[in-house]
Amino acid sequence: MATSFFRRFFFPEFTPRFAVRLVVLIMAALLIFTQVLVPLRIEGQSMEPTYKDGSFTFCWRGRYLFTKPDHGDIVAIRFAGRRVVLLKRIIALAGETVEFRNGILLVNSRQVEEPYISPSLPWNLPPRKVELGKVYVVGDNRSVPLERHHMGQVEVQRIMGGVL
Amino acid sequence: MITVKNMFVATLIALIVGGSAFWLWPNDARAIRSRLAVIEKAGTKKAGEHALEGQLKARKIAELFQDPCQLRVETIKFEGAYSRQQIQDRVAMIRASFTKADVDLYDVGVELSAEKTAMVQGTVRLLGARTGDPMADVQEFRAEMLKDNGQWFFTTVTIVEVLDR
Repeated sequence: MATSFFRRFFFPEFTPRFAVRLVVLIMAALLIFTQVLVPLRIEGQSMEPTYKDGSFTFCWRGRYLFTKPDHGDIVAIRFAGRRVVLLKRIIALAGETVEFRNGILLVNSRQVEEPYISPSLPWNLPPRKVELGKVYVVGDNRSVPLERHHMGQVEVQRIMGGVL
Repeated sequence: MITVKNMFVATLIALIVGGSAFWLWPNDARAIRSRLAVIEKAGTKKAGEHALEGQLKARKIAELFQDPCQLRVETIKFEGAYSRQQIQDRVAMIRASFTKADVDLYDVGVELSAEKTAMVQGTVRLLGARTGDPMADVQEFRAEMLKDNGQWFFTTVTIVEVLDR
């Protein structure tokens, strides 16, 4: 009986009903993994130690359907299309002032605790106000010089979703 | 004999042939994409590449640009007109600074206009190594192209500022 079940499971008879189920399954998988839960392969070290180079994760595109991006959220930021995205952490919202002083993050001149970062370089960035419709994002890896790190304010519209 | 099955097979073959012809038929968008493919091919550098090969590849890239071509980098608020020779020299210099490099273009969109011009938008990703240290960079670009003597050339290239520090 077990052999019969496995045979039917792995080598099913190609009936019209099976064909319909197969098509529905393929369509559902395509829809889910291209529009809802987009798989991401991480390249680069800008989000270490939270996300390691070469690891996999998913972008949850429904993350901001009913909520707005907030401090500490890790988001996927799109470029011209959706095949290449940046993973960054939101550290400041529109209207807030962001600053780095000797590696310490200050938002509205108040120090922000960042338990997710490992020992970092003493970054210094003069205070700047985040423009309307934008958020300020930065990677978790602060062991690279500030000049070589992709960071800054980005339009909220470019946020593709949250990261699982 | 005409049967439903034969009709179905004939329709399927007609669709495949028609679709392939439509997909493979030469057009301006395809010509532009093939020009962009030159950037990927000539921009990529294998470890141990000969200097002469590097110069030839830099020249291939420079030949894609109108002489002069307007270049803009929004992040550093830079804008300037570069001759084809200057572009070749700059490309050769950048390539030489890498021990190996891999250039890929993603999500390329081509929008043609009536006056033999086109707008191109996409994402360029550079993965490489400089003196053993790996480096990765991603930038969004926007470009204007002009058809001149049957060939498409970049007239303006802008590196778009996605993250404003």
